[in-house]
Amino acid sequence: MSQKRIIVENLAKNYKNGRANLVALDNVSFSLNEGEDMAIIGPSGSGKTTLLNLIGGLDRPTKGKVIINNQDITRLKDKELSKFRNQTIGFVFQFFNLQEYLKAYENVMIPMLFAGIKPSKAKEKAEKLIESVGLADRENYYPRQLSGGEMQRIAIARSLANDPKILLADEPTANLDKESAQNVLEIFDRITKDSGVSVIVITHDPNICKKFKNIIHIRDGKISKK
Amino acid sequence: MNIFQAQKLGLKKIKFSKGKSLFLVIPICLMVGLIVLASSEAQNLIKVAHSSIFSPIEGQNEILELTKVNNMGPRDTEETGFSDTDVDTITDIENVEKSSLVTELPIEEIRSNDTFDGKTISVGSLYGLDEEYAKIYTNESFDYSEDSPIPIILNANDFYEIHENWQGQTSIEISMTRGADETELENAISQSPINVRALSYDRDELIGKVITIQFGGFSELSDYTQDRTSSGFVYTVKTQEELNSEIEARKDAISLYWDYDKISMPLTYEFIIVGISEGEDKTKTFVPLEFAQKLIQDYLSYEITARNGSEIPESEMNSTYIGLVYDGVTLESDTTGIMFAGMRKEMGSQVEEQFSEINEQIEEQNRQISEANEQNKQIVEEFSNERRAGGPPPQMPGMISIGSVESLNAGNINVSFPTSTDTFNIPGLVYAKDSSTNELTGEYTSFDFTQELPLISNSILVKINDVSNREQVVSDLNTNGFSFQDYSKYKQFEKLEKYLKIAIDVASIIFMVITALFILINMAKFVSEGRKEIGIFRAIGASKGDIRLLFILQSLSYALISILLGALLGISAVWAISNLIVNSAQNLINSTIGETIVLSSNISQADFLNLNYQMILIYAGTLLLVTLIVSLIPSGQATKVSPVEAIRN
Repeated sequence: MSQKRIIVENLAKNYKNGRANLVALDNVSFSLNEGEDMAIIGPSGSGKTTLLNLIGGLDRPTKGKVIINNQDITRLKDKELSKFRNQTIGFVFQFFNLQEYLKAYENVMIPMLFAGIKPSKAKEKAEKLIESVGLADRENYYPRQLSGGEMQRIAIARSLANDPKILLADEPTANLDKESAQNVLEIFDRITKDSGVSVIVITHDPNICKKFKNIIHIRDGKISKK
Repeated sequence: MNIFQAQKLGLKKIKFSKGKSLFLVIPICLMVGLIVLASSEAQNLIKVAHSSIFSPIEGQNEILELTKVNNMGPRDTEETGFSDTDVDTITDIENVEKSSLVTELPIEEIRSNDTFDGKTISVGSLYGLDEEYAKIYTNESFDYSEDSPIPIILNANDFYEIHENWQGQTSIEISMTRGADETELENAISQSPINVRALSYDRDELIGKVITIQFGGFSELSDYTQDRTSSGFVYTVKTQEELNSEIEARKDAISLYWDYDKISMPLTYEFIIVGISEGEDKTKTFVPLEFAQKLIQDYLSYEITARNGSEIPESEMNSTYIGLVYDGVTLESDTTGIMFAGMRKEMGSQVEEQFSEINEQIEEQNRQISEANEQNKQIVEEFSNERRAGGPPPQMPGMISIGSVESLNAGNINVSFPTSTDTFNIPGLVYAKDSSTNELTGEYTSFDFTQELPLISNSILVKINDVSNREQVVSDLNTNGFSFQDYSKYKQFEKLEKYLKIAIDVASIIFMVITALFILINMAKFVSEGRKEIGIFRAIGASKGDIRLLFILQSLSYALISILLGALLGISAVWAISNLIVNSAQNLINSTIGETIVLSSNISQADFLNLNYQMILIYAGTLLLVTLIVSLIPSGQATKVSPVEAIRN
């Protein structure tokens, strides 16, 4: 039996906006095994991103637990949480979020530098990762010299820099053409199968959803369908 | 992430967005450049000011010239001159480094035509000076040897020329009442056709220059007369005929007892200038003591050889033919004494009293004049020179100016002083005096030139170990009975120098504060502009510490680049405008302090090329420190940025 990598228990998140209390996430529970992938689907404002941020340790829940590798990350201190994000999680964003003043390989190096890895080793690994996403000839390019698909692949390489256990992607293909989107999804698939990384992808595209083993639907902060 | 990686990242960011970075770099760079320029040039200015103004002033003020004044008023021959005991007393005064007797040479008509091109300067008073003591004034050798130019220390107060401006008139009348007020005095001086102008000089150029100096002979006769009227003075130009007849009369009168051609030919020696004594209260020209002895011997023997054998009648001794007096003890210019001896004999002590009374009046007048002149530097200069040029000693017949006395109408006694037309100063002439009767007995010709001549030391040089002790030494001198009035203004200069330094420090601090504020504002801007980056970095594992480090090092990178560029800019600016500064500094010094004080002002461009490394380093260091401190606030803000919100935006 494969181990539970992610356990989400009764997770809730409220935002205070003035006097109004916005319920972003309401009593969400689910789990995900090692080497499995999952798609989260739902309309805008349904709480998908909030859920992803809570799993990734970017935000703290109002209530509930996020247990990753048998550790409740909601109890971690900021410093431990930073280390957790750095080591265990890889983030992929809709708008890639590469640093425009850094070359492709330098962008990939950043998480490794935060991890305290020597720049020479980090560079070596960054080059390998870029090669693995098929952009070996682009490693010295600045982001503005790359296409959207290429930027997203560099961003994926960056998310994999510290060999994370979980990869979290928020609408990674929303800004890409069909071919690039396909390419990105293939990479995710490979990562899941080859390295046992658990991949969670937010999307609102039903066609993409089909490619994932687990799918959860979120509506008004609640899981409406598993 | 360590410091170097964060620093590298910061630099990459700056490099990437050059245009944007320049907005931050340029102002800081300019400010740093300005500081480098300002502090370097300010330091240079202080240094130049110190070496060309303050230091000479200090040096000048470390030497006191103590002189016994014996030109006017009743005098007691016993008190003539200083003795070795006086030197011992002075040397015992605390903080007196050394003191020495100096001997004034009783020589008239000392002139040089080649010290300044086309100008003749008169040397006021010539002194023999011990070689060891010469070190106060010069680093050069002060050793006398017969076959090389003789070292001489000239006195800057002798560097003046007399201008006559008659405005096309032959006679100019100036009204000035006795006890005139300041404006009246100023008017009188400005209306006078006779003006004295200081000659500008470059000390370094003069030092080492070989010049010739003439001793003796006869001065050119004054081509104008100055008379006192009931309402002031009247200056009148002599006609050529008058002048010619005066010259003829002088020649005829002198030819009665001397070979005119011989006696009118001055002694000439070659000198090398080794030092310049500068300062308001410095009046002496120095030659080596050994040469002084030789000079006086030559001076006396050349008169003896020019005699034609006829004896000078007693009635004309020191009344028509003025000479030195030897009483068997000392040899000195003693015309005043003689005159008074004569007058005393004739008219009793009444005259003496009257005379001293009048003398006091003159002193008072002089005091008023100098007070008035404090207001006007130009006038001070003219006047002090004029006063010296035409001062009261009767050895300079014919030259009379404001403050001196031509004739004294004291009560009902009318005493007339000799005037140029019937009095002749004979170089090297010595009368023998009977010390018991104070009467002149005839010409004295039997000096033993192998012996040291009995000259009188009416002056003592006092060297103070440090200018700051001047006040105490002056006070102690007066306590010990040596009257010395301190006119020195060096204290004001000390203050001036101190304030100059404070002003520069204050300016630097203001600059630093402005730069720091600028960095603070820009760092805050960084944080707000960098929110998204902060969010992303946080998401991919940056701790708060990493974010803080990144932001601090980013501002430090900006500061470092700006400081380096600013330093380069400042250094180039120092090179670029040093020439400009040297000229304005020279002008400033010349037009302000140079007007009142004799200075060796040779400022060169090189003086303004020095960089104030110390200040640059302190400033750069402080600026980096300030940057560090002020970036703590915005970088603290940066750590509070919520990654969720930052990424969403």
